[in-house]
Amino acid sequence: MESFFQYEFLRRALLMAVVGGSVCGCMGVFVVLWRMSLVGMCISHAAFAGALIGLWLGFPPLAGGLAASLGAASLVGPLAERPGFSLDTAIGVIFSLVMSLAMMALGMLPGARTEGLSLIWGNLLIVTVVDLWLMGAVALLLAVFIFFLFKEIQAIIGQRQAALASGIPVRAIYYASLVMMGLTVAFSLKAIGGLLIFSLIVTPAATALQVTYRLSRMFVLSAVFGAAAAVLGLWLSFYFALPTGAAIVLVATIMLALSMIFSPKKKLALSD
Amino acid sequence: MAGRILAEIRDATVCFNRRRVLDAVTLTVSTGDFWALLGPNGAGKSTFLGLFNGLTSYAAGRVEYRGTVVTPKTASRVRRKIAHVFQSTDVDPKMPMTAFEAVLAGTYGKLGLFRVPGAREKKLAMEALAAVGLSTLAQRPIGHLSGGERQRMALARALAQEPELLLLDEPTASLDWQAQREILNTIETLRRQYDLTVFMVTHDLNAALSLAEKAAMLKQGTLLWSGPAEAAMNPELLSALYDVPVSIAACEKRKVALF
Repeated sequence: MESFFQYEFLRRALLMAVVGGSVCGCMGVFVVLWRMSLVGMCISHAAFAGALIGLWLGFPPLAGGLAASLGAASLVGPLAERPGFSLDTAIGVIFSLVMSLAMMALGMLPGARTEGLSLIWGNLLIVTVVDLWLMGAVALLLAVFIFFLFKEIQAIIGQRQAALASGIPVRAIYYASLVMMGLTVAFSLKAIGGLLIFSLIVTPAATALQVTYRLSRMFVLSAVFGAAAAVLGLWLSFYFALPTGAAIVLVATIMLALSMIFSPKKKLALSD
Repeated sequence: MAGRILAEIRDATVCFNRRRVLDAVTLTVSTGDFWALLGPNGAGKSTFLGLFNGLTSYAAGRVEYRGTVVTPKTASRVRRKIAHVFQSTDVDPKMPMTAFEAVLAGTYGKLGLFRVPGAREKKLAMEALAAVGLSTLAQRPIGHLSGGERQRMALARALAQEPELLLLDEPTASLDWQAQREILNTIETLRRQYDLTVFMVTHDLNAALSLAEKAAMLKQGTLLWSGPAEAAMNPELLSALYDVPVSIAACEKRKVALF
């Protein structure tokens, strides 16, 4: 462990793993409880395509990712609200489109495509101080969002129509959460990678759902599980020369499997 | 004695894409009324219910609540005075929310953004849970409640909102007979206890017409008939509404519809 901390880039990577993992974990609570998996997956992959297109056109990939994720949020959000609209079909089409755009941009990149490939798998080891500050700002924004709108977020869980009918600005909060998702994905892309980021968003929240009936605890646990998966994955990738993003997602999935096996909710459900 | 006008729907037309879902419907609800809205599937009943609180946007006509025209701009203000109970749906048993938290959420619309629920809101929620007989289940996760209990919880959430008008969208749908009876009895008790005006959409003809004082019949987006509930127990009227022969029988001093 001593050798792990002696390098500046590893200390940065560790900090990014903690902050990024927590942010992704918290964001996952919205995805899991508001059943936004399809929308979230679409936004995260759009960010990935946007970053690659940005790289191809000579823009900073972060700007491309941010523009694409916010664009996807504003496109998919209204689609998800249209009555009688087959969202899964639309998302399927949009998902295929953004993935083909991503692959096309990757194919058009000149040279060794190292930066482009790192956007697919992610690399915590190339994180800069600026990346850390940006992720810190997203973490702060998300914390403020959750703290000030906690009761509304809770009211919308499983009772969206009732919340809307009682005068809660459900639509505004929903769109704000989509924007938060766009920011989270865009700023995590470089470290985690476009293919795996959505897994780090959903899996820690799904793990937290297995162990608590309190929303506040679910947010905290999701953040802790997200950070733990990211740190453990980073450590494994350092010692066993594994791709970082893949190691993180595997750790997160093992944590989910263990929580499902040992979930206290399973016993409660059986005794009901 | 007729109360003051609470809500007024005048020639309201609702279109989804190019299809007319409601066609120039007109109806007035006064304080203290108990309305039952009847009609076959796809008649536009739930759409009609949404006119009162602006969940349904209308293309033509006018909807007023206490003299305020219901528009997307005024809807959130109007919604704080109207509670809407939806059909019971399945809830993930792992959902991180207790019955008390779900009912407390009924107070949040009126409370407004950035304000934390205090002792008053918590008392309201506990009283609402007690009123529907769920006090002992206050700390139970909502996913562990039965269908009937979940529907009573939805009623408690509506009560915690301290509404003037209670909208009920098929409150007994997909419940067993015992749960249906419990829900209907609870509605009747709450209405008297809290002096509520009620507008209920239902398929349960007999229960609706034994509880409600007024009835409206909706068919293919058109208001076929409205009047006293007793007069709605008419075989010709009900047969025309459902397109099946309906007869009326007398059973223990009350009329029941048979088909």
